[in-house]
Amino acid sequence: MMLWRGIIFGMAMGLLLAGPGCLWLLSSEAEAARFDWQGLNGCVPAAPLRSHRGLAGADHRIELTLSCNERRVEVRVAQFFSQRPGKEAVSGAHGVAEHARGPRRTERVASGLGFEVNQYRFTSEAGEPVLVWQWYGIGSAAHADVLGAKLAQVVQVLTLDPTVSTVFQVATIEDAAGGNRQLLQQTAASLWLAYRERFGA
Amino acid sequence: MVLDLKRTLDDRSVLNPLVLVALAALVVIALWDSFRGLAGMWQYSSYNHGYLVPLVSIYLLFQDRRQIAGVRWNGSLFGLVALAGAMALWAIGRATSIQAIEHAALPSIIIAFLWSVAGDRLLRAACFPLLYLYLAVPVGESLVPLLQTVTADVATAALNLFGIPAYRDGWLIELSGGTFEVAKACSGSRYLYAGIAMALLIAYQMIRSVWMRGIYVLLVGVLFIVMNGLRAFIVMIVASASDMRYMTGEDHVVLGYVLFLLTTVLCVWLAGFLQRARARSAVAGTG
Repeated sequence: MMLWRGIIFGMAMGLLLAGPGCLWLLSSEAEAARFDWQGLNGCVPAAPLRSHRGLAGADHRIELTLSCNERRVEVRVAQFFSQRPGKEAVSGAHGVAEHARGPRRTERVASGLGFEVNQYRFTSEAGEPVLVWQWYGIGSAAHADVLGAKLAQVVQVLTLDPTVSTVFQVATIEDAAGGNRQLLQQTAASLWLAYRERFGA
Repeated sequence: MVLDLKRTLDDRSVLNPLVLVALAALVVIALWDSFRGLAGMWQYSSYNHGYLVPLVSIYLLFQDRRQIAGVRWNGSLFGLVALAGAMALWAIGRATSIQAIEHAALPSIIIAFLWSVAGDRLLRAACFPLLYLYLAVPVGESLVPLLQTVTADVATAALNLFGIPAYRDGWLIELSGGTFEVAKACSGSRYLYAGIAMALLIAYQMIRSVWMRGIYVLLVGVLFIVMNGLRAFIVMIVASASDMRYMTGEDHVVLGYVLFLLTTVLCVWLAGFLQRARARSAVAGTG
């Protein structure tokens, strides 16, 4: 009987320590999913479109503003290899329009890349009309909505996949001819293709 | 007091609850970061009662020590399965940063751990003290708008009852002396959650029938909601009548504490009344 109780106690302690252990393992393996993007051919570094504190708690960041044939595009990517309060990839606010002047419009639009993105429109501190696309990469899948991204994170945990969560933001100055919007779409496509290649999908 | 302490220390039945508390402490240590996050939520006024919940639970374990001491520990495989489930839930909540899931899993882990180590019979003997731990989980934020509306309803009904002219627009109530808003802080959520925690404890201590306990807790919930509405009513008429000189600062907070105390006394009386009424009806039934 004592042996049986000892076995049960040992198994219970094992389960108790397995939880934090699994999370630590998932997070340390997730570091191997670090993603880098070299930019677009023929583009040079340029001044930022908007001031930004950066996505709080991100383990790895990409922040580039590029000028391509006098059109500017800005990329911000934040990867989270583990999460806790104050260090969350998927949440309602990602500092997309922190210092916007006046109202900001948000809508869900088709990106032309096989998934939807959150599109923001607002006026920057410099008085320019800014257009931003934002979405989440959970594993190798893209999600625009918070609930879908959270559910994908739950699936990652249950299947013991390294829990990498990535936030993508691509911004440009909106122009009437739509040339900047095309550049934004090309940049998003290049970014997402590089990300999918990294994940082997 | 010294004699009682000596008698308590000589009483071997103290050992079982001590061991249970030590086992629960192992869980807390293993998941320290999560428990610290949970305790961090108790600083918010709606969840201040969370600080007392573990202490009440421990007290109840010691109060029921003779009942717990009479149970043989045998371990449970079902408890292990429950522990695995609770840990999975915790891991999901932690990895996805969904605090509601992470925090709700914590009492489940403690209970499942004790169940697996000590067995079914011990779980039944210590059922209420262990289930009481769930009151430490901060939930109910989504109820605040509803509580604001109900508070405004009660306050408006009281104003109408006394024939005081008032115009209501949602959570705004306009009187002759000024316009008042039933803000989130005035929703009564802190009274309701603390009141329910207190009601469950009083019901467990003073009322025997399970049905009667349920009715009592429900009545107490309603009592605290109505009390909060009356508090809003008193604040409004005093502030309005005094040209906003009174009940616009700390004094309306003090009023809240006084009314909470009075309602608590009423709740204790109510429990005694219900228990006596039930005892009388039981005697009448056998007589």
